[in-house]
Amino acid sequence: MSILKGHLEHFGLQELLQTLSQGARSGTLEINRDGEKVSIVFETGHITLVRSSTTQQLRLRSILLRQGVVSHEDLEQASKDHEDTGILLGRALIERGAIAETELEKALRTKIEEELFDLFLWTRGSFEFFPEQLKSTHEDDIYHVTRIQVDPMTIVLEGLRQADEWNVIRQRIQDQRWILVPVKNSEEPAENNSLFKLNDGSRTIEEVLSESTLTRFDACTVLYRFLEEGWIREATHDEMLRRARDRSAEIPAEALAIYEALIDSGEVENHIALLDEAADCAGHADTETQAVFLRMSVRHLREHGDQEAAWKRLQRLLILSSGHLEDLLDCWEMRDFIPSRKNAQIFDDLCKALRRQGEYKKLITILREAEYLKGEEGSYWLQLGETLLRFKDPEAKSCLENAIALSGKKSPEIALRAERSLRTMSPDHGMDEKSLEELLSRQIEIDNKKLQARYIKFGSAFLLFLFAIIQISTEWRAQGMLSAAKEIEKNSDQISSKITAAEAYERVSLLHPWTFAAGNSDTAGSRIRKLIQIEVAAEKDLITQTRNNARAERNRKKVDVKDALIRAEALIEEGSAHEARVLLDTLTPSALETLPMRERASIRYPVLIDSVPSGAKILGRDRSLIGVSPLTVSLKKEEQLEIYLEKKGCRPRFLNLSGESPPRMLISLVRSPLRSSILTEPCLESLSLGERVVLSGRDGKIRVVDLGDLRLISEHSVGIIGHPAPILIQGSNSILALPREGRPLSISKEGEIKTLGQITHTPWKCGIQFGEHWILGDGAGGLTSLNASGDKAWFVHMGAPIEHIGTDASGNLIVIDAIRRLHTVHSSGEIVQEALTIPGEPHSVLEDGTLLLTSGEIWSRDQTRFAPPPLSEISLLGNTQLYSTKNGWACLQNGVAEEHKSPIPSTCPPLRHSSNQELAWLAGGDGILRLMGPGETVYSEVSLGAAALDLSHAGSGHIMVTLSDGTLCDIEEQVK
Amino acid sequence: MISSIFLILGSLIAATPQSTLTPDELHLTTSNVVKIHARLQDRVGQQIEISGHSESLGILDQVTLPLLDRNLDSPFLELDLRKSESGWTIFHFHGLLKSALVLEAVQERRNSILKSDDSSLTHLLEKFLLRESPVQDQPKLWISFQPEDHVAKLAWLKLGSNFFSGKTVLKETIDKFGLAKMALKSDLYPYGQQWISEQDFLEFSGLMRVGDNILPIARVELSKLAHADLAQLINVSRREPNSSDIRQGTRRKQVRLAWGDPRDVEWIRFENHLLEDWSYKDKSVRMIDGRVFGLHIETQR
Repeated sequence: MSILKGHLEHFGLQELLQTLSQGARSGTLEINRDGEKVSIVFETGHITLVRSSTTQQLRLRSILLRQGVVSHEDLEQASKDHEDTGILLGRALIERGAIAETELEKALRTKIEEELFDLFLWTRGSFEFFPEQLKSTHEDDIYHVTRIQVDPMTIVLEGLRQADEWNVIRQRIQDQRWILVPVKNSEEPAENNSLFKLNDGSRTIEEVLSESTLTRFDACTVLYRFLEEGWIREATHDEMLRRARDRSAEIPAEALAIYEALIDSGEVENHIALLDEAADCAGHADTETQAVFLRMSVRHLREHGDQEAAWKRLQRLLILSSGHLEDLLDCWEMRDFIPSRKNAQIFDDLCKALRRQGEYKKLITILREAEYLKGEEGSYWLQLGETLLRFKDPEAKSCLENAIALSGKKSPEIALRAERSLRTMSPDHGMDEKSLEELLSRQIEIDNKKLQARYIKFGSAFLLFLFAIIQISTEWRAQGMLSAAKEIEKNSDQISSKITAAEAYERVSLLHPWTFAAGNSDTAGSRIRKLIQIEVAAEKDLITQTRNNARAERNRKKVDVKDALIRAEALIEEGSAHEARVLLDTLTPSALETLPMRERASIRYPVLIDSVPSGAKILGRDRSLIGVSPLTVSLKKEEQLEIYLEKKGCRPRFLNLSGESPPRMLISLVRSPLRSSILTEPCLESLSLGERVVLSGRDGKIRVVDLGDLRLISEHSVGIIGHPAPILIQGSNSILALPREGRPLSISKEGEIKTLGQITHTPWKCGIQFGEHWILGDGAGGLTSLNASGDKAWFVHMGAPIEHIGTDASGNLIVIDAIRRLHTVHSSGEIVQEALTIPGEPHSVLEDGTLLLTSGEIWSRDQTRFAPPPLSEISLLGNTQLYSTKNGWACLQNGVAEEHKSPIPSTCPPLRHSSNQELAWLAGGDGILRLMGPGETVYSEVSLGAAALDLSHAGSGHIMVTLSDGTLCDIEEQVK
Repeated sequence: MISSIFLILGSLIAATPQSTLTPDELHLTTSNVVKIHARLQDRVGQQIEISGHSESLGILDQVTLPLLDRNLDSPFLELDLRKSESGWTIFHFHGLLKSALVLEAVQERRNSILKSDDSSLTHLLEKFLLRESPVQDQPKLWISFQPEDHVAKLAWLKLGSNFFSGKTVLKETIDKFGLAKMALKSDLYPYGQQWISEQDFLEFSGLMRVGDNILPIARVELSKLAHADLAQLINVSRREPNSSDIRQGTRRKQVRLAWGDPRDVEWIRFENHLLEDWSYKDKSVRMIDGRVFGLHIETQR
């Protein structure tokens, strides 16, 4: 309960503060002016808190910046903390370490003082003091963490001083929404220059004050001084207007403040235009503000009698804030100046608005005024009667009676409502039973009619909807068929498919005649039909022409075939059966079909039967002698001839021939080796040396055999039993046997046997003859050169086991080690080049120093060529190298590889025929040794009986074959 | 005792290392006190092994290390080490660090020294990053390390072969950038459709590196056996076998008779004794002076 209450006009703020301070009062003093409220909290006569309805933080923020204790960045971060956690701005700044407690205290004290100083300008308003009531809020509690105590007496003195000065200042700075501009050609003041510069012609005084580091009072004092001394001046109306227009689009709120200032100044020439401009500007902000400006405009126009212009703006208002009572009243008042068709609507809206706001007296006035407009309508009288009834006005009765009379049978609902209202006035005022009965039946009749009309409407709509659905569905299906027809047409390149497309189009018209698709398909169908007619005609012409051409061609072929047959017969008679066969084979089946069947079947094809070796008897199925190979027989195409080839020393061969057999049938007759001999141990390697052959096996021994009679001449233990067979290295006059363990053994042509070198400590892996020297590689990376007498000439260590040795075109040694490094070594043992890693697994060093890789490439430092992957070691004869492959055998000559097929894969390296460079011996896994030529042709076959391990030349016209069962075979090379 | 520990700790704390190293850098550093981030590999008593450093580290008694799984997800140990005559010793354990943090830091170190000429250090850091990163990230990481410099590229390829030997990423990268010739120079080997490291190539070829030489594994093993106890080998080979089966004492001929010819033979001569290794497809037999002293038969799983 308050103990002190009054008005500032009678009891000023100065006296209030003095009273409360001297009385050491505690409580809250509340001061109100025009809706603005300020609460001052007293504690034992000291002011501890001032809470105003304006935003507190803005002022505190401004003070902190003004005092220069925080930066904008600090404030922004603290504001973010405030938004995120709800912590007060000052506390957030302290927690961030941006300000000290004392700095916050100082700022808050300044804030309280400024707020109190502002209060001294209030010359009117009411106040009330609530003793012992601190009315603190949660925010205040936090606020009080920073305890401030301000002595009211110091505030009173300063407040009074400022108030006096404010009065003077306000005479010059009347409106803080105004803009101040610097006076041209005047010097800038040295003092408060920053404040001066803020007046750049764009900021309002309010903006200058908020951005200034001075207190509002001090800043206004300085601005006043600037104005008085002519540094700055108030902006003209045009300047203000320009500024407002500049801001209207981007910052409409600021522009509106300027417009308001201009409007409030009342010194504008075209007031209406300014109001309209302000309204347009407000349109950017919110419609309510726009409506306010429009209302001001309407008011102004009506005051100046421009009703037409006022009506235009009212129309905008009716749209912006429909149902606004003030606007509707304005419209009603202007009803004589606005189109009469609008009056009824405005009247209805006005009545609704008045009823909504409970302004029934005003409603009665309006209704009475509208009698001229609505007097003929029962509803009008009902509305007036019911409103009057609220005030128990006796006139209500006549109004309601009028309503009954005017409505009658036309609107029984109104009449019945008026009758009910009349009954509420007095039960006697009601209608008689009969009339009421009539009205009720009339009402029921109308209701029924309405219901009937509604059913009809609904039914019609439903039927229409149903029809539309059916039609859409039909159209949809028709369009689908049309699309399908179009698709058929698009893909139709033949007449038959075009006919299908035309039929598809016609089907659309037939099935769905009342659709848009049907119309389109009719047109498309006719177009295609015409197109088909044209194409059919063209095709007929083409067929006729083609038939004629074919007939002519057939006749020509027939003549050619008959000519060929006559020439073939002549050739056979001349003994050139092969040429005759070649000629007959040129006749294609289509050419032969030109002949009658009988003639065609009677053609005979010559077939040459040849054998290897030749001179074999050719016997018929009944063993009757047909002839001796080579022999030509002529056979009809489908005639079968079974023959036997027999020759002494060879296996007999059975053969089935027909006219479709190849022109030349070369039959290889398998023969047997010339002689053979069995050794105690199978030999894996063999090399011939004059009239002898040297063999090596896995029993660690080498054997020397006489080629003449395959007799064992001598046997020498070189290596260890079980170790890999000693490697045989071909020398110019001797053969070197290189065991895995042990000293190498040299066998000369003359049969001289000599062991070379010293006892070694590493396994031998490979070797070659190099000039007069033997170059040997071992499993620890050593490369040894032994001279002819077996002494070590030089030794080089390569770092890894040596796998291959060869020579290159420059006469250097090529050494490949186990980690695929290629070393080039001079004949003196000096390493010539830096080792190079080979891009694959090396298989052999070729004659020219290139490498054959297991993957099939022939690799050199400069290039890589492709060759068939090798399956066996390489055999060498002259400059040709041979090796077996997956499909047969490959021949390497001048770095170019050529692969030939063989029927059975070879078990050992192929051997070149000693006199025919195109032929090679291949020992098949089936125990048959074949002489193969290009194109998988077998020129000779020898039955071995076991898998061959090695093939080697053994004197002229002979080859030596070593078999896995230890047999040595001497075979004659038979040249065809 | 306690005072001496404090004395040691005091002196070590005074020399607390400033920067953190990877274990790979330990053999390069000249400092006697270092801080490292390492992943635990194995622990036996007061010795631990960490990935990236071949030698074991000692642990002072007062240092307690946590028990960790040995996988790529386990965190890194942050350790202070000091060097002594016996090698590196852990004298302080700071705590555990998440793998991602350590890898990020090492990556930053690599990026910062990349522009300098210290290519060996860059290489060590890259090796560390590749080894310690999750397996699925390793190929992308390795490709991102590709340098412009020719010499550095050889080292980069070799690094790649250590991690991706026989993997598709190695082949694809070599093919994509046309690096086949450089790969051969970096001791990478084409093997079928893939590229493999030198280590793998030697293993597949039955070879091994001994000093600067490459030798067959069988040869090295024979040599080791001979050096270890030749007398014992001779002794066991002189037993008279009372069975036709191949066993100690069996003669060369009998071995050949029973098992046939070997696929390959390796031998050494040691103090006038001949030691042989006969290798078959799935077994091998070792002989001294023509008599068996050892058998090795691969059992099929």
